[in-house]
Amino acid sequence: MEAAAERRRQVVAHVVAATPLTTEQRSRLEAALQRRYGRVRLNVDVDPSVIGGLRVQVGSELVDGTVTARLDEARRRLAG
Amino acid sequence: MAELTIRPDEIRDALDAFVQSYDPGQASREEVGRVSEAGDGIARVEGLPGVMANELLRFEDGSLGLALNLDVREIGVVVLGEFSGIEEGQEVRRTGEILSVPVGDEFLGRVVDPLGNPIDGLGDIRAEARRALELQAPSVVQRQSVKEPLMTGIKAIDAMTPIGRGQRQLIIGDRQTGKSAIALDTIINQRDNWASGDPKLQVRCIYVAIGQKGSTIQGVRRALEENGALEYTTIVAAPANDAAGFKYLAPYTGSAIGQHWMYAGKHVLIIFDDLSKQADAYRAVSLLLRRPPGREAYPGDVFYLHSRLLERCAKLSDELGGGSMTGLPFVETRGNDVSAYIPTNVISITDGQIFLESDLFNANVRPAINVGISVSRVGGAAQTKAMRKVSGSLRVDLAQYRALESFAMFASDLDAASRAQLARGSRLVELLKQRQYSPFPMEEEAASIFAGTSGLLDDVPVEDVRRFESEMLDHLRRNTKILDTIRETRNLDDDTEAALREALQQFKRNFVGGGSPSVQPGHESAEAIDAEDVNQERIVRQKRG
Repeated sequence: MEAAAERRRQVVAHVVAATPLTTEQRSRLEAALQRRYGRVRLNVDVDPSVIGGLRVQVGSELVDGTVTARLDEARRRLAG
Repeated sequence: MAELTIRPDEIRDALDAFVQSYDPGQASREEVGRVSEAGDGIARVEGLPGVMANELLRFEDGSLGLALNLDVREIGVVVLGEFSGIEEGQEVRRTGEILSVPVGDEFLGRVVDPLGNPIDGLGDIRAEARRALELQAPSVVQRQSVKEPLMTGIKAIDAMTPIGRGQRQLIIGDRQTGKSAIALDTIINQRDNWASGDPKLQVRCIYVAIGQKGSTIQGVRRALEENGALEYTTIVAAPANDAAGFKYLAPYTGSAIGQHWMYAGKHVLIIFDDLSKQADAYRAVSLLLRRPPGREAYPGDVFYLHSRLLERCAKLSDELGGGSMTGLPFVETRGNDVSAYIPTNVISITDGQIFLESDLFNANVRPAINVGISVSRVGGAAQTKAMRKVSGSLRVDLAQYRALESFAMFASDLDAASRAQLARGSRLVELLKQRQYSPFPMEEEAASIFAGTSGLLDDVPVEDVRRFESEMLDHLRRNTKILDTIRETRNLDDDTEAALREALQQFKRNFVGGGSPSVQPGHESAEAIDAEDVNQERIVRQKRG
């Protein structure tokens, strides 16, 4: 899929959210990502286990703003 | 331990402060890759195009890894620590940090692991700074020549293969030949320097234990503690059960801790015990990373592994504070073979070597230093004037003794000159023997070696030499000021020498009169034992041949 996207001069953004995105949210996200990466193709997964927030991965870059990630981080700090 | 009470309030406060300091903040952009292959302490990671060489990576289970191989599509990572929790498909994050360790004065008296974390259960260490592990060694203009002595307190070393501050002196020998004993004695001998409180004299010691038994490391720590040497010593421990990555890193960690002090103008002694185990660990890591094997299956850069480490030992120029770091790397040989790959590498890097031989060790010559092939390329510049003066003819005397000894194996009749040479040699060998944990101060070393090289011992029976020595030093301490003079002037001028000779002669008259049953039989038995001694040595030689 990445190779196919590369041919079309697009990058694929893998998005994980707890609830399906509304059209408005989707277009806002797409616009924000396009400012950074150029033509972006969104690939949205819905996974209730992330509880809330968004997780966006483009290539090797990851922006993880989900509640699970923050809880994990807090847990790691307490353990360390 | 008795007043160790736990107050719930304090714990609550600490937890409160900790929770307050946590700020989830904004989600930040980070780079992640994925484990594509894991096992044997190595992980291959896809993605992470921006990673730097030697960067720390964090795996999903919180363990750390070190990026060593940077390929086009993937990177090879050495897992530091437990690797059973790492599986294919897990995420790997960059930390953006090149591998570094905390450093500072609080490390003195502590035992730390190769990442600088304390492992002696004595609480946290407050670091003064962090220091990257892979730093370039001081350049040519930043150095000066080695000229201050670092006394080991071992007569044979200080007299014949002196070590200067900033020198790298290899200690090489088979297992169980007393290598670690030399290290411990040298550390213990710095106790008086430390107690003097003069930063020009004080030597901070670092003992890097690589691939040793945990019980051995504990034994070293206890020996240092019992001899009052732990307060100026840091132990960096990578015991045998540690991952290969840790054993590979441990010498660099010790070196980083030492460099911090060296650049602050202080003197440091660092002991790598031993580098052959580090080379083995690096070979394991390299083979698992599929780097091409070379001679003895070591990777091509195993020379650079040791040369860049030992090059960091230096004597800094006065503009940089004149600090120094003296390195005592150890290498273990198999079957006294110094021509194997790692021994020859390290011999060529260092400024000299002290070769310990199992045959000598078993013949009760301890420290078992083979005088013939032990050298110090710094030499007399690293000796006090007094030591240089008394030990001038020692090497030659011993070399002639060795040559004559093998010659005397075949000839039963010897002329008087050769017999005298043999007698002198066997007494010098006896004189250089020394018990463990009993380092000599410089002035006593000088006095007893003077007794040997000036020929004053030649008519003392060989088996009495060590008793003669200890009683002689006792006599000098009690009845004369000669030792104080040598210590203060660090020189043996003609007047002192004459006084010393006079005092020794006077002592000898009493010694023979009081020590032995009577004068005449003592002399005769000396002759007989002398011949026997030659016979004994002959057997040893043949075995070696």
